[in-house]
Amino acid sequence: MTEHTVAQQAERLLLRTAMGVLCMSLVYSAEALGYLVDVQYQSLLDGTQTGLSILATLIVLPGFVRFARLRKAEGGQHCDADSYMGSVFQRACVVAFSVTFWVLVLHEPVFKSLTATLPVGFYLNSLLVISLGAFSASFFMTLWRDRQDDDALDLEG
Amino acid sequence: MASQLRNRIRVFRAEHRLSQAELAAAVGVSRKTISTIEGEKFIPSTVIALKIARYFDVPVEAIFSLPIE
Repeated sequence: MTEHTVAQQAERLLLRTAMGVLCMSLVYSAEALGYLVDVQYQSLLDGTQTGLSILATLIVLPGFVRFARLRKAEGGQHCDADSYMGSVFQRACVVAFSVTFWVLVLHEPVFKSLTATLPVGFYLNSLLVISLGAFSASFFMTLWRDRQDDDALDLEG
Repeated sequence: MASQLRNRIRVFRAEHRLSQAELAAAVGVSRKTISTIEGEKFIPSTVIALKIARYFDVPVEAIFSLPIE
């Protein structure tokens, strides 16, 4: 039963990590937005960033601690690479890398002339938003697409 | 993540009066992993396929198969 608990906890940790990534993409969105809006909105954006950063930590950290504790109790035997959630996570990583790569490739000829006046920080934050956002979108869209009523035909007892 | 790998896990579970959670616990994966394998949304690793076959005490081909083209 412990193995089962570790496996469940590993999947929960991956889900929590993806939620944390989504929060961080919003943090960087607020940071990038800071370059475009008036100074009077800066404190609002700073507050939003701080709140989202704390939220991301609160989402990921407890799951990580619980997983680490269970894994230690199990003797580090569990391998989460075999799980469904692990495969969705890996796929989202590949999508995020591909999207980031293509944005970098297209940036030079297409976007640079359009946004040449903006500071470097804006581009860096925007790239992080695109990368983390692509990861989150891929992860949660795959989960949503693969959702199913898996309890309907489950045999309890 | 639809797969071309067919499986009869649901049939074997029904024969053994086993829930997804119980099979997941026996094999050492999460219930979601079992349900997505069963629903052919996720192709399991060789290790998981062999563990499931070993649990039901049948050859892996009795549970997993490729569709005839």
